[in-house]
Amino acid sequence: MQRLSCRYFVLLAAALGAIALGHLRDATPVRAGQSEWAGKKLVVGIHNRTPWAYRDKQNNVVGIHPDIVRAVFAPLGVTEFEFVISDFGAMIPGLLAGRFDLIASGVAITPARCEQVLFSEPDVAVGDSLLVLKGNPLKLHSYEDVAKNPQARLAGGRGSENTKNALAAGIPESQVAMFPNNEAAVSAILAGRADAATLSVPSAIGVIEEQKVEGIERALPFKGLIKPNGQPAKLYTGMVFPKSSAKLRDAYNAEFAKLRAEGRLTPIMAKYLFTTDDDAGAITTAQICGGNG
Amino acid sequence: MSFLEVLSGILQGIGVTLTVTALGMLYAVPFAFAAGIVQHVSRGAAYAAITALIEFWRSTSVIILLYGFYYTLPTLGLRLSAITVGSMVLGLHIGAYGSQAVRGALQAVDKGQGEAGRAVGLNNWQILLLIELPQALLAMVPTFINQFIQLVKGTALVSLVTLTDMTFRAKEISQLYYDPPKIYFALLVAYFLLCYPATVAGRWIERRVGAGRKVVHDL
Amino acid sequence: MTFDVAFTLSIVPKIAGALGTTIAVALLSCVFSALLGFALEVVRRTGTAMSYLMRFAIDFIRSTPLLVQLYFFYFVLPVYGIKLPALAIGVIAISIYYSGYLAEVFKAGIDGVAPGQFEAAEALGMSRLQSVLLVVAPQMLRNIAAPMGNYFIGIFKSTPYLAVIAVHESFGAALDIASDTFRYTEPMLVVGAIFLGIALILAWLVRRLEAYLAQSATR
Repeated sequence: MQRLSCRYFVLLAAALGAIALGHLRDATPVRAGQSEWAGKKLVVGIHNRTPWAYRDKQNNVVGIHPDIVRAVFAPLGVTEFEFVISDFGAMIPGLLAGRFDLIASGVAITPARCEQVLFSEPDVAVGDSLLVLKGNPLKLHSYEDVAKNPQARLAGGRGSENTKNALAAGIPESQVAMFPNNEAAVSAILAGRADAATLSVPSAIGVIEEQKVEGIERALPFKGLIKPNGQPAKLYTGMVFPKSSAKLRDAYNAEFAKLRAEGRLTPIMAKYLFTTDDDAGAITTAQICGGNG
Repeated sequence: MSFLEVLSGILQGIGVTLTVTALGMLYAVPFAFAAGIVQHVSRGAAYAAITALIEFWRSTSVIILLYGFYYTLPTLGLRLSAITVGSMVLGLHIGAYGSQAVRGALQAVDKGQGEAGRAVGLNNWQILLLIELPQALLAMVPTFINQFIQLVKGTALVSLVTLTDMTFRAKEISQLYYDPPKIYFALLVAYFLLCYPATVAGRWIERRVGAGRKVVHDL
Repeated sequence: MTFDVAFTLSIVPKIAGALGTTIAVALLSCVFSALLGFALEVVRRTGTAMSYLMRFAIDFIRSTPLLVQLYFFYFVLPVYGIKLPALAIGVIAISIYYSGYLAEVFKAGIDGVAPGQFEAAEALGMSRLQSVLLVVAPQMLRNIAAPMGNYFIGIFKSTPYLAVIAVHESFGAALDIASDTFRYTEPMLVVGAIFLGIALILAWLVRRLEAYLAQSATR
């Protein structure tokens, strides 16, 4: 009996020591590069569109949002990313189906989307643009112009907020056709199946400058959807996370705030031809989700 | 981009195309055999059940099933990779067609063969495995070559669920360089290079095998 | 995301409402593919250089996926000035694709009519036209009815592909709902069930037709 209790006490002491040591490790603060995602790979959904997120001629994934993601996650120790290309309208469903960890592809923050997913704080704010046949034969310079002309057909990306803005501006659904991606929408204009396509300003510039599509131009000047308060509607973009990834989203926000404060966001924006006017500014995601965007 | 540059860009996706094809065959061939044989030998409730299963996989629109499985299974807790979903859906769909060819080939074997087997004292399973199936196999070879071709063509659909096969690569290129004639003609050529040799081989085998023998065709 | 029955029921009208386009595309494609397939087979039988070209054209069509051919016609034709609505492109692509298969069906059907039939009709004093219309054609139709019916079902199941070129048919409607509400389960279930249901009914009809024709042949 005596020897048993001795061994028993030694084992107990060892066990308690191990538990204590374990707790001690937890008490150490997380150092840079030591976040819980350090060394892990993140799967990122993109939709292959300049300048948001796309694969360039050298097969690297570039674009304003992948670049921001890389810059933000580097201090957290994440350097490995797998980019999955999906149609725009299929990205959020893909996120919800667990196919990616986040989306970094120019997705606009909207109240409807806020109900399904978590957004990071906004980075840039963009307006809508209209692509038309060279010469703008139907003289379309606003969504109202399209609505006023019952023969005019508008092409919109499936699931995109630009399309929703067009509908909100009064264009009847019968005049709008949904396309899976921009290539199809552009082809529709060239083939005479549509008279105009609605895209965000950077995407439209991307089609004309980067892809050098001939026969298309931006309708300038263009007046998009005007909000009830008289201001033109702006789309604020951010990264998209599933509702179960609040921690990841918060970590992103913390690092993104630092990125902005240290002035490292501006060069990334400039690389893709965004100006300081396009910066989202002080508006918060909570405000946009609440409908005050 | 020159035509050859486009074609080589598209062929970068050949790995995924062939992987989905190979995995799809792993679903298609066993399913075709198992389902075809079961349907051939069963009666009553079992026959109804296997027929229902085959009809489901044969009659669904494969593109709808692909989207459905890809986006919906995770919500049911089944986290299958895109490649698994793609090859499984395509494989089982084409296997269902194949099962009809297997059954047709089995039925086409002369009834006298089975009777001769019984006369020699073999039981039903032995007749099936040793007499009917080997004879039916020869008639089925063109069908399985056809299944391979159907699978290769079917893989184009997986480009719609983010798999980076040849069709996906073509669409990727087209998002950056608007040159449809080059890109889509190159894509057609890429698939032709994969499928035409198989078609020729199948035709040659059919000529060798099918002389006088009834060869079963499916879709 | 749990399955929402109310949501499912609410989207049925939108999806079923687009069935009109689906059926129109399917019917038009069936007609054109049959006509084109018949023409291809007739030309092939003439044995001229044209027939070898046709043979190669059929092989090329059958060696490439329908999806890719759809993309090709949709994106490439406008570049050469041929501007057609997406629906027309869809019908053209599906018709051309299936014409290759239907040409084979016609070949088998015509070959399946016993050669003696022509002589017999002639012996009975019928003119060429009469023997074709009254003796050969009915027998040929009997041979091709079932395989053709199955290909027609295939055409019907191929109409969802048109969603990728923005034709507003049922699958496209389901995709629009899915990208709008971020829920794929319910729309895919509805459109999948509709297509499966119709395909099963059509398959049953083809089987009934087959049985009826077999019956009348043994009279």
